[in-house]
Amino acid sequence: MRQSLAIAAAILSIGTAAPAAAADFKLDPDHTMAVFVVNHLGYSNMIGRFNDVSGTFSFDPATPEKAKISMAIDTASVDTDHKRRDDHLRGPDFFNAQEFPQMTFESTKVDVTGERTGKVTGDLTLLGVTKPVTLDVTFNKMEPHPLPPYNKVLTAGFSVRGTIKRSDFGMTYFLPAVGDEIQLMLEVEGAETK
Amino acid sequence: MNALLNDPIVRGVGLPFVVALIVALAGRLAGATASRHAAIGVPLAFLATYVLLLGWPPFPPVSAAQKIPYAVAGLALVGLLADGRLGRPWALALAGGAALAAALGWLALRPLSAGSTEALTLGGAVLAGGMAAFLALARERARPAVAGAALTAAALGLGGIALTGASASIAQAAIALAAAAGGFAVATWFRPLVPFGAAGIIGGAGALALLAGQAAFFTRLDRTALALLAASIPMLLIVGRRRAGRGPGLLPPVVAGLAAGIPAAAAVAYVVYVK
Repeated sequence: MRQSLAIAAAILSIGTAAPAAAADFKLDPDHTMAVFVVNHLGYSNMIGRFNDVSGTFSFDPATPEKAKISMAIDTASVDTDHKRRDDHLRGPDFFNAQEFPQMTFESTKVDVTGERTGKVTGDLTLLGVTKPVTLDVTFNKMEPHPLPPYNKVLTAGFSVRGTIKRSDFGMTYFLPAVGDEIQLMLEVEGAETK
Repeated sequence: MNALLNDPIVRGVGLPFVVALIVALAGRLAGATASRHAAIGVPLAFLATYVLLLGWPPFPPVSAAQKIPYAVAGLALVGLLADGRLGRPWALALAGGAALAAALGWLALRPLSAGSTEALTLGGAVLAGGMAAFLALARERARPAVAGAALTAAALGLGGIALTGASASIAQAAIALAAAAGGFAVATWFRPLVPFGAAGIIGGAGALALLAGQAAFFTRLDRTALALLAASIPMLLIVGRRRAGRGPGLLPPVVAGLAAGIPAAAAVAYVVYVK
């Protein structure tokens, strides 16, 4: 009887205490993906991703407008599953990864648009140029992680979508053959840091 | 007309060739003082093409690619000021070297300010190659087609090695520079109408050194290939003493172009076949 009560109390403490508190999270690189889509000569849309993404965010479902996110992407980690194209993308014609090794995003404002949706505005720095961008965010879930390797650590996940113009950041080469508008898709998971 | 200007060959090769050729011919018609400065057509044609290819750079520029047009304009200006004032080749090489050192330092400001010794070493190597090119070209000022042919071959070499994976924009810019130097060489081939003045030497070969610097600092372009390329224009110091490369006439520019083309072709072959 005493053991059953202890288990019940433990379950309740997990179920109630976690979502109520604002928490700081570190991006889980294994479950965070930064994907981009760009038009190629009007024929097709090429898809690429960045393999090295890091960052932190703070989030409380009760006050989502106070959320903050800070992300950094190593531009040399660009990956389109084609080595020669990736080498070209890393060079001065596109991401110029040796001169500008990182692109960063720092949120400045969150507007809540629905029960689980919002718009995050922040400063995106790419190729040394900083411009404000607004991204659509969907809050997916925030719960203790169910799988053993994560030890029931509070984990939050979001889906982020947006579009930027590469020319706004000085990435003008091969315009307009390679599209100016870049669709961004980020799937983000973060584990609580204490 | 618009469609013609949008053609990549016309824009990247035809335009710089014609601009440099016209400036050389116009310099001859404009009198003795203007003719001294006519080689400025080479950096001018390069700048016009660079802006057409990559767009007007913002000010202040952020990246090395955006700094290059401002730096080339500055080098050409230094050349204009040196034209007629610095008679000795070594004096011109030193003045051009000082300006090139400043331009390279600006280009590599980011890695240099981060304390990169690699950037410092590469910058020193590119500066040494640039000064050797200034010296070799300055000795051939009175034989403008010879100087123009050597610069054409060296710029084609950089275009070739950049095209193999370093950067298409650096390759296009180098080929545009080759076309500009080629236009000047053709205009002065049959008669040395105007000298290959300091504006062309410091502005033109300076543009080549800055593109090589950008490739060295910010791409994975093979450094051995760049070192081979650095020997291209200084080949003039050797062929100028050989019978076929000496004196006036139609042959010396061809010999100079071929001689400068040997290290340039070796650099391209190294990147294509050895690497």
